[in-house]
Amino acid sequence: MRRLLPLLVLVAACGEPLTIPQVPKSAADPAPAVVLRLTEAEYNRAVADLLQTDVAPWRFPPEFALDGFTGRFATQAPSDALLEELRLAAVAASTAVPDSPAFACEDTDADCLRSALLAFADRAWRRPLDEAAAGRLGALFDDLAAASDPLLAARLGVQAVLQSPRFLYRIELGVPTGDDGATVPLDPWELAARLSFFLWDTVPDEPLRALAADGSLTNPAVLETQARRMLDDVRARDAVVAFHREWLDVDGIDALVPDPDVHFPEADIEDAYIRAITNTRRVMKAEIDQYVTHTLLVDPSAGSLGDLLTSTTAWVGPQTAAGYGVDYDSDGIDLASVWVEGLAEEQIELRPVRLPPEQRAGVLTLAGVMAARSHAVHPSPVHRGLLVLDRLLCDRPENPPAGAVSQAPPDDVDAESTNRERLAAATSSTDCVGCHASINALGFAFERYDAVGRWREDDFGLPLDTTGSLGTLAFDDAVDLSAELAALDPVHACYAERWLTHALGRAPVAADGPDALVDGFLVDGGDVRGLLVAIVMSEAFRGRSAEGAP
Amino acid sequence: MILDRRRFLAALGLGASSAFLPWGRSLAGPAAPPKRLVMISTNHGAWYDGWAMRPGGAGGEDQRWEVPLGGLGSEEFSRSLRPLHAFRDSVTVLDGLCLTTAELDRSSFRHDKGRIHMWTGREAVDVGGAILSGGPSIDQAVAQAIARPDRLPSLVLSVGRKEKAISHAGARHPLPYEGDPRRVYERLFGLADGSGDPSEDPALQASVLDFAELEYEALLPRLGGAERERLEQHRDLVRDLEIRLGGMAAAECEAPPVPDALPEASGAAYTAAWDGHVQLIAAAFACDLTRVVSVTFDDIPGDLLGVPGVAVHEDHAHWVWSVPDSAELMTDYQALHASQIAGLLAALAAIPEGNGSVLDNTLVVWGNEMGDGAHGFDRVPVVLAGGAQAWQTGRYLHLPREVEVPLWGPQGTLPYTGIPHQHLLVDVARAFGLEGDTFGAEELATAGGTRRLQGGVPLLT
Repeated sequence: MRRLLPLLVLVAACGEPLTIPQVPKSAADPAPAVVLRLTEAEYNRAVADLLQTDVAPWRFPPEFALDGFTGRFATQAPSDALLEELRLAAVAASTAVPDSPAFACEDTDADCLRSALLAFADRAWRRPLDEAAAGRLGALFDDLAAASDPLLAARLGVQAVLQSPRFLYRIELGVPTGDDGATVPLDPWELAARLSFFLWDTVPDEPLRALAADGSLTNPAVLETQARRMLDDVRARDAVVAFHREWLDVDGIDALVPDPDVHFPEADIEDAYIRAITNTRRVMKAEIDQYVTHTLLVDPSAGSLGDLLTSTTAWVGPQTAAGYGVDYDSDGIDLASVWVEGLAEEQIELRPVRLPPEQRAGVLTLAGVMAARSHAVHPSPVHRGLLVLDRLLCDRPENPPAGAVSQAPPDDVDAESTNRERLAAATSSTDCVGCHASINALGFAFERYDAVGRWREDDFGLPLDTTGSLGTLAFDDAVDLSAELAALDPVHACYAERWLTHALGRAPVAADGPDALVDGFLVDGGDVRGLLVAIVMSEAFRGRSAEGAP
Repeated sequence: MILDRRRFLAALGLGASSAFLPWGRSLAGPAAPPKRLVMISTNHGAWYDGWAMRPGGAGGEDQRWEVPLGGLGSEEFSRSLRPLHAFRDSVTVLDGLCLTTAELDRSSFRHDKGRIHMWTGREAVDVGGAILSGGPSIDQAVAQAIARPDRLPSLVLSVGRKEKAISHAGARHPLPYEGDPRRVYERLFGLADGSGDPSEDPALQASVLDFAELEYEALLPRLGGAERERLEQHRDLVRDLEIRLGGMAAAECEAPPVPDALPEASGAAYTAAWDGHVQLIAAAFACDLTRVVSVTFDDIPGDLLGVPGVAVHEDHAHWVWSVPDSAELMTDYQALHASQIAGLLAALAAIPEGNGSVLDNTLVVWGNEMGDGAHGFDRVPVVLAGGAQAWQTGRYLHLPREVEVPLWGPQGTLPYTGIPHQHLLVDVARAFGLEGDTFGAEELATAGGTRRLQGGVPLLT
């Protein structure tokens, strides 16, 4: 039990006192040994960086998520489908070789192409080629050049490099230390790769390679400087955004199908509805991406988890502005617009605005986050409450008992009762209320946002009630609740642990030291960049499990 | 691969020529054509009163009975099954199976459990929050037994967005879906898509894959435990890919047209994905490019059911027992799936093979991850189709609730429930020559003692 924090903060999902999430194992249990495969984003970014040219991103068979996140060892088992796509992706990538600065050779210059291929492998495999590997790759090139021509041999060589486990897997053998600790430190090349894939989704750049080559990267001061350099670079944005997309299930917005009669009455024909909903989905997703990027990585006055849960600086599109209560055509605030590609390649401008602070605060109140947790007609307080419990407090309730779900109220307009009243009635039985008391209380706070995330003054003509309480929390509405969550230790602990899990590709164990990470995060005021640096500096990140190490 | 669109269309009965010779016959003479398996899973089960049939007052709810379908008129078919009337002689309807082991499994949410149990017959295993299978699904077990090493062992497809696995290569090994027919086309016909890329030459590709395999061999001795196991899996798949690469390229085959990109509208995309898959499955079977396909359908979008903007799952499936409109809609829901499956049967029946058609040598199994939309596991609707059934077809089989496992149901707890579906998995396995008299779970604890889950479905064989 953590002693720095109050033991009972609030009453969680099913009536149990909520404390900081505890990792299940004792400190003596070693971390599991895992070997991670590059994710789709990592593969595509790395290939483009290695070939130093535009390569169309390849779409691989969808990786199953674990607790919302891809890139986890447990759900990365390979398949025939994956192997087919890895081959096709490598063939496609290799078509860029003739135009690639990494292969700046005459088509017939076998010596030049051969050296370029070995240099390509060196960077793709994230360490200097050992003699055996260089010999094998060189022999492959020579054989293929003899059977075809040097340029084709170089292309095939690239395909071979990209289908090698040295490229596809993050193979970390570590450096045996002789003592019998639970972890073995990574060598500098392995550490460079881990750092680069964590913060940039790609292979190490030249400065990192130089520090790996002279061995200084394992020096903590050097490592920290590098982590900060990388976080300051725009290349960190995609990786940070990708984490938050999975955390908030932003892709769930693609499944959004609001009732056209209720929510898009102006779209009177099917084509108009499809255009409206498609562009709305794309705008909502881009709004969240831009909000996360600006709040955590750009705005010098922000950068904390608290800011992410309370900031009112946002970007809105023509589809969403009115629902936020802002004028899309007013001057807005002094920040740059961003652009989104709508249907039929239409370019849609997202403009920076200050959201009305009495109506919105933080990422939870953005239109897409709310809309993705709605039915066709009404908001879903259940899904919104679960968003807070599961994603922010790491306290997902048990599954409903058999049959409970069939009592959910129907999703149509009912002049007699509010959404809140119907759900409260439907979940009032003793089977349900144990968990739903918490789920509903949190979810009702968001009742001001309709099924497409627009602000509303009433519930189809009936008065709204967004007040609630849970344990030691009491809130008037979502703005109030977001402010309370932003100050809550368990929210910080949950967020930090999700990041650590994401960085390691597996669930942390006590030996990974998540408690110390959380303590530091809290002391640091919830600074997210500081958290990512602290993860990089942690023993768990700098080492691998001694289990299974050579 | 020899591409000839006109000949493919002819094979589908759409062109003037009927000179199509399927691979097995053209090269292997009079050898028996291969048997194929298509496993189809849909969501939410049936509205029983709209799905079940009692032809001619057939009867006895507590009796085992069967009725031939051949003599029935279209109006005598239930609304949900009516689209299959044209295929009534090659269809077997199973009324009365139960996902009993899913009911008893305490691991996870009902939809998750249903998806695991349906084709694996096994308990789900929770691996750090991921609900995975403890063993292979039936499609993969059959693929291992009947796949040609020089062809794709199986295709695992989806219609719509799916996030949880239905097909499993083995324990803790979920297989990803492909939902885009263009990607499926690329896998089946990519080696001969006319791109003219000289690096695609199979001999050159074999050198590349050889190299990759040696890379795995070089690294494996340095790894242990789960890491080594993962890389060995990958190494084995590289080997398989290398072996089939030449075979896929050598197949004499007529490729169908390249599928269009899926449209934006959910209903149109759903329809286009299935239509594209059907065409590719038919072509793949005709050319023996694969022998096993698993397809899983996400929820049918509301616009295809005349209720645009409605979430079928939460707004109707949950309500089948209490809201008449929802029962009607879920009856239409299964009827729409039945018509989609009839489309597949028609495409397979249109390809001549031996003295009949590809359909005569294919078993199509259509099951559900639930018995009904309100999350009941009893009376899970199952339809078998095609000529590769190792039992007499054209029958409606009714199986009573006779297994003493109490089951939660929307109408109250039932003391007895239907025949555990593992018996069906055994029948499917046997139809493809697999050894053994169980598939998945081997026994079941009932109030009347332990029941061995041995052998096939009563009445069926």
